[in-house]
Amino acid sequence: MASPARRVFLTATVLLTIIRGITLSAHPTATSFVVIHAAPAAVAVSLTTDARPLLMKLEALAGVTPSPADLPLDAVDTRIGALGATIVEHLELDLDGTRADLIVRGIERVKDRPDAIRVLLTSRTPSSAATTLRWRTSLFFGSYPLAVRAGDAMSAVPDAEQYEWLSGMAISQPYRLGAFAAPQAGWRHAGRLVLIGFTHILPVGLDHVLFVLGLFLLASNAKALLLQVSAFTVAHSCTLGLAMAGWVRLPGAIVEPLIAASIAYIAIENLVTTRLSTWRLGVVFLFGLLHGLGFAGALASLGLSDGHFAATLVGFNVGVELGQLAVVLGAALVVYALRLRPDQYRRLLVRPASAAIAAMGIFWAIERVL
Amino acid sequence: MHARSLAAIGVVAILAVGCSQPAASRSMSGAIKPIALLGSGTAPDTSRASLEATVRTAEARLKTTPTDAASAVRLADALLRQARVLGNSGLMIRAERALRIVLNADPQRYDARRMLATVLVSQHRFREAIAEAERCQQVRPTDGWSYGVAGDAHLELGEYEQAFAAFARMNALHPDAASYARLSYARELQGDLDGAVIAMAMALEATSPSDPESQAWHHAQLGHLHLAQSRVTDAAREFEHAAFIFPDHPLALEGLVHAASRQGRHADALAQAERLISVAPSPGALALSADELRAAGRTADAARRDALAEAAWRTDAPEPARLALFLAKRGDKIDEAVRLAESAARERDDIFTNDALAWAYFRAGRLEDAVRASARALRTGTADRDLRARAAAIAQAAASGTK
Repeated sequence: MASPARRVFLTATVLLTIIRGITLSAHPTATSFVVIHAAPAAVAVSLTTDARPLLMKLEALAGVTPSPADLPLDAVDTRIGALGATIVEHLELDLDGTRADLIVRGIERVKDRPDAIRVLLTSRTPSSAATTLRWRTSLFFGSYPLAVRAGDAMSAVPDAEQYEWLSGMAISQPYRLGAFAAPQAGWRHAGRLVLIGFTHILPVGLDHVLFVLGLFLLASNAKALLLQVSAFTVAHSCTLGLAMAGWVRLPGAIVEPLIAASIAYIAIENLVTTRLSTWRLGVVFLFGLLHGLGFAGALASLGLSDGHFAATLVGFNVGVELGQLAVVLGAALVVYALRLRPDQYRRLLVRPASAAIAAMGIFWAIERVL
Repeated sequence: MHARSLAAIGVVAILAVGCSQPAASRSMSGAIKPIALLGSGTAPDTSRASLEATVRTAEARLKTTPTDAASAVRLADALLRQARVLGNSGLMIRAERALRIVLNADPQRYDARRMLATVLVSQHRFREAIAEAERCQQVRPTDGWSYGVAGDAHLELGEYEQAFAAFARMNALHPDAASYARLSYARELQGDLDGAVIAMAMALEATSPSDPESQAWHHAQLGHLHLAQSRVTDAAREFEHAAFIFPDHPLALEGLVHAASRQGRHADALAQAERLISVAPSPGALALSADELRAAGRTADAARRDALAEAAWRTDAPEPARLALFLAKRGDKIDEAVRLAESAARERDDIFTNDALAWAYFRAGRLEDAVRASARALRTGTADRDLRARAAAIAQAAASGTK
């Protein structure tokens, strides 16, 4: 039989290998792409691309004096915002052959891609009466993926029928909205959101996974774990709902570094305390509020918050809870397999794992601030 | 679609950009262009409409039977051709996906694996392509295809000895349009333009009449070689022929721009350049149109078009070496040009990357480094006019001790 230290080492090695295999960052990166969400009330378009080249293009197309190459990114965003009319001029969204009026609704930074921005547009024309949608832009001079969602149809996995690669000014295939625009039953909608919520934790939400593991490590029994997870769940459900309703709003630039800091805090506290205090529960609740805003940001970036408010909230939350439960169960299995005595558990597992989580949290916090 | 999934697709796109054209010859403006597709002797009808029909049919079959290897190979071939006539590198991701599904189900499917190697070259994943091609060579050492693919990949990496040896082996095993075209490019790279023309003419003769896309490609290549020999009228004829066989073929349009420009017909050249941008937009096409705008005296428009080209090279089709050369030629952002060219040269040692590096060094005043890189750029004996002109300028500066 291997010694406890050896078992911990082996288990840690296996887990690290698996995690490395999944992803080394909390969220993946991307290049230019366009997402169109044709909800019955309006059509939303999001265009994600690198900010400086976009500004360069817009200034060239508008025939205005080019900005200096070292313009700060904030100023780049402002300039792009000021050239909204040029953006709209070079986008074509046709509903049944009629060009829809697009307006720039906002410009936001893209998480984990400091040089990229997302331009959010909506059409004044509702898509409810339209049967087909086509798209074209003259802002790209290479190939890019276009994804189209109609009505409430959405999928957590790529669907060949819902996206295509376009080259430059090529017009998209006609998307028949009627084929997938029929309103889905709320429960079915919620079912889809469960999957999306789950995948937001596993495998792409490594930051949330580490937070939950941080909670797990300090829980000496099931009750302690349940209390912490419950506090976290209630809190993030509150802010997720409030943010989805538009009552609470915090920019991702603030929320994301704070989420990273919360991971570091929880892990560091694991190193200095052995008991679950009321203070800890309060802190977990506060951090849960933050994570809820993060979840809301993820939902918004997916364009999933339109329609079926309750079903979206419940479905996504259930998915997140299932994801967290999977993390906790996985961790419990590992602990069970290690069969450590209480003193060994703290020395060989809680301390090194918490130190690693804290380091990761600090790294992310710095990375997300920069 | 889930935005994260789209983001992941985007990551793949980063890998695929700049690879709108598979290996392994070079257009007049320096863009990498495809060699004739392998097995073109038995190619199906490849008119634009037929390509679309082939894609539709193959995808419909794969929908019901995703592991149908024949359909996957047919789909990949059609998508590769569409990619080069539309400039849509994203199509190659679809091709790879279809082939991977087949190979996951049956790793022994030789036809799917050798097509995968071709797709990987077209995505500029040269090392992976070589690995797949070598696997194919182990299974069927007498199939010329895998030597052609391996040669293309070695060529792009600047491993010319291996590339030329692979092409020679391919020709010995199975002389056909694809192997003659490679032979032609090998000769061109070594400065034997007459020999290159002869080989390309043989490749054209060996191309199936029912394969208009390949025919157009070969005519455009012949035009390119004539242009390199300053036989502009012959070149224009070949480009016209290519455009007649396959209307709006990007290589034909690009050739027509160059031919008209060399004949001083800048208005015609500009019109063709605009057509090229609308058919198969690329940073190279934008830069080409900027040159014509400049030649027509429209300097402000040319500057704006240059800005679009630069932006497109940064984000739509990142090609660090070409962006570096572009910036170095323009004369601003020289430090960035050097950085980009050095970064590209760490990945690839081909003569065109070394040319970009040499010119960036030269413009940065690093004459010794420029001379060294320029020597690497000239090492195959290429007769490329622009490359030789830059090398001559560097050599002259070195001889006179100026910067």
